[in-house]
Amino acid sequence: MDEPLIDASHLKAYFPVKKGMFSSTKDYVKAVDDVSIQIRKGETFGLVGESGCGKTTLGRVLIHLLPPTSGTLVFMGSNLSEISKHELRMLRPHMQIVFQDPSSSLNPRMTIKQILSEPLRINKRYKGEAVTTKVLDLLKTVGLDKQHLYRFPHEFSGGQKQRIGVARALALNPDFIVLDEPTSSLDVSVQAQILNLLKDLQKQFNLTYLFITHDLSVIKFISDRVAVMYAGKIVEYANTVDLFRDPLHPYTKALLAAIPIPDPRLRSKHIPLKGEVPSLITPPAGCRFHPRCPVATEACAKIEPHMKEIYKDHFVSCF
Amino acid sequence: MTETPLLSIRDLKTYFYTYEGVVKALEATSFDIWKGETFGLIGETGCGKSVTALSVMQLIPQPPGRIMSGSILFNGVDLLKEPEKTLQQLRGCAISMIFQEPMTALNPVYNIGRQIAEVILLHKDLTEVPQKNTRNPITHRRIQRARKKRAFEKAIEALDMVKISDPKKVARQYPHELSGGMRQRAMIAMMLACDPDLLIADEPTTALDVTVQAQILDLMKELQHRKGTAIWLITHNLGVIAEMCDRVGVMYAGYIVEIGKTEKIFENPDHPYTRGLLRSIPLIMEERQRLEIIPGSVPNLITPPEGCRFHPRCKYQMDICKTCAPPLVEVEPDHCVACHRFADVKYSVVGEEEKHG
Repeated sequence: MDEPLIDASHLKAYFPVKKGMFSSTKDYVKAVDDVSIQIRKGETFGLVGESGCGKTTLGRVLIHLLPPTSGTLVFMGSNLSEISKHELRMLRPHMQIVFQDPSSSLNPRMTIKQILSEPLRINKRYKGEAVTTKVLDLLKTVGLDKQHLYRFPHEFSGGQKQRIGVARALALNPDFIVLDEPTSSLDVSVQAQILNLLKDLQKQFNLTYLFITHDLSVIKFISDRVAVMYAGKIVEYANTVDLFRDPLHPYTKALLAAIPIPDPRLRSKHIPLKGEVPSLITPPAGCRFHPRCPVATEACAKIEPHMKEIYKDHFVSCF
Repeated sequence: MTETPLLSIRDLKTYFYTYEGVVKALEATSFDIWKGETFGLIGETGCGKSVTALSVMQLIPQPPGRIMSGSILFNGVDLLKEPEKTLQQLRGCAISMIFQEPMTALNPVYNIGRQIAEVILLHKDLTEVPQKNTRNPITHRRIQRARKKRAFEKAIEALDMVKISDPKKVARQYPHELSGGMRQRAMIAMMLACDPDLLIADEPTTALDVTVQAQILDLMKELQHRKGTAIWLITHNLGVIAEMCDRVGVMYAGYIVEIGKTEKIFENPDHPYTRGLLRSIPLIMEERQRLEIIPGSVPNLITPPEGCRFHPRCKYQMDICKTCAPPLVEVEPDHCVACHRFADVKYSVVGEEEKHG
């Protein structure tokens, strides 16, 4: 197999929390705690988990928007923590991100043309007339046209704004795009439009996606491989088909069981998980899922499980 | 069914007068909710779901909003003709509402228990503590204090009922100290404190995670089972509807376009919009290579399309659709559709699919 596009090992992202009058004692929010993943070229890697489990932070760390506290991150063969700032800037165009809320990620005082030409100008890829041509080209790829060029973000609907966000991410022909819940603020019919668009673009430009979402049915539709995250750790990762057919971790099973299925004949008799996602400042000892786990044993409270390969390409961290 | 429905909305029309023009948010909306059932209302953002609920509660900001015509019969009483005082007695007591974002619906400066106690104080005569009309200010104050204390105890009971683990502690906490799921539980406790006949839940789980959503839905089901409350569930999540509801109404641009038993709507949706909605969602159960999409987006309600409001996005449209709004007709028992071509939609399934596939 060829070299992965992204090879992350033992990534940690901690945020300090100050306590006490003179900030003497410090705790850390362990948003990402010892995560190792590889993302292959051309695939869509899905990342699921509940809110507050660190999936957005992981997405940001993977494109070095947030430098990791420790661990190594290799992008297209170069170790991002070793290269200089200048070299990092040279790599930046190859990694892009589309944010969750399209209305807060577009500058309300800039027209669409300004928004889309900004990355082109900064990276000095295009000059003069070529900028306009490129912007029009971008708009066309995401299904908008010339008449939208001089409008402001507030004049667009949520779906259209998200299209602009996608166009901006595409502006510099990236290799890797982090999609951070791109459809969770949209209606189902618009969500379908955006998901189809993303699939088409991936084929057209040979893109690699990291798709972050909490919606398992979206993950199932769009991704090739999935990682399930819980309280800062990845608990299971596998090919999408394998994961949905045979989930191994009790948390994955519970997540799958909790989804309401749009078919009244299949009303589920699920046993809902009790409790909520633990605090990331003082996560439970041992397996972080054990306080909510239906099959927890005494060992789970003491020893932290490690990633094991159960089947080929199917990893799980559970006893 | 021969008995009268609990809530019966007829030809409800709500407009908003704004600077840009008149927003025709609701246009002749009619449906019934029966005692003890769960009725679901689905539709995209901006199609008038929440406006319908707010019209029933008469919480539409006026101006700019105005309920133009129609009637809302609750237990046989027309809410639109009742004075504000009667409405105040009904709100929060006979009809109560859970809002989408529990953080904005709860008061940040009072603790949870006090907020729930307020509802109880307003609507329940606490029989254990008789309200005596007394001129003696000291007796009066003592009675008030006793009532407050009793209401607070009741609030703790209510929190216990929604399965909050340490109700005594939570009652003294403030909304920001609770997680999203806990806040929504507190809201439900508040709404159920007075045993309402109708509970309006406006996107109660949209802001929550799936596992917490499952907890909240189960809780609502269980409480309904125990108390016989009718639930009117507003959501855009088709999965939630399928899981919870007995009957469903599909709303599009201010009109109910399809209404009926949940099984019937999901098994053979007759309106092209319902059909499109059901096909545009990715499913866990089956493999879909592409999602079917409904082209375009929800129309602007200041200048809505003439005739059937769905026709610009509809692949079955004919000339009549552009001029004449279709009435709601019964296609089978417990299943009504507002479409000129429902028959064609129904029988052309195979052919259409071949063409589009």
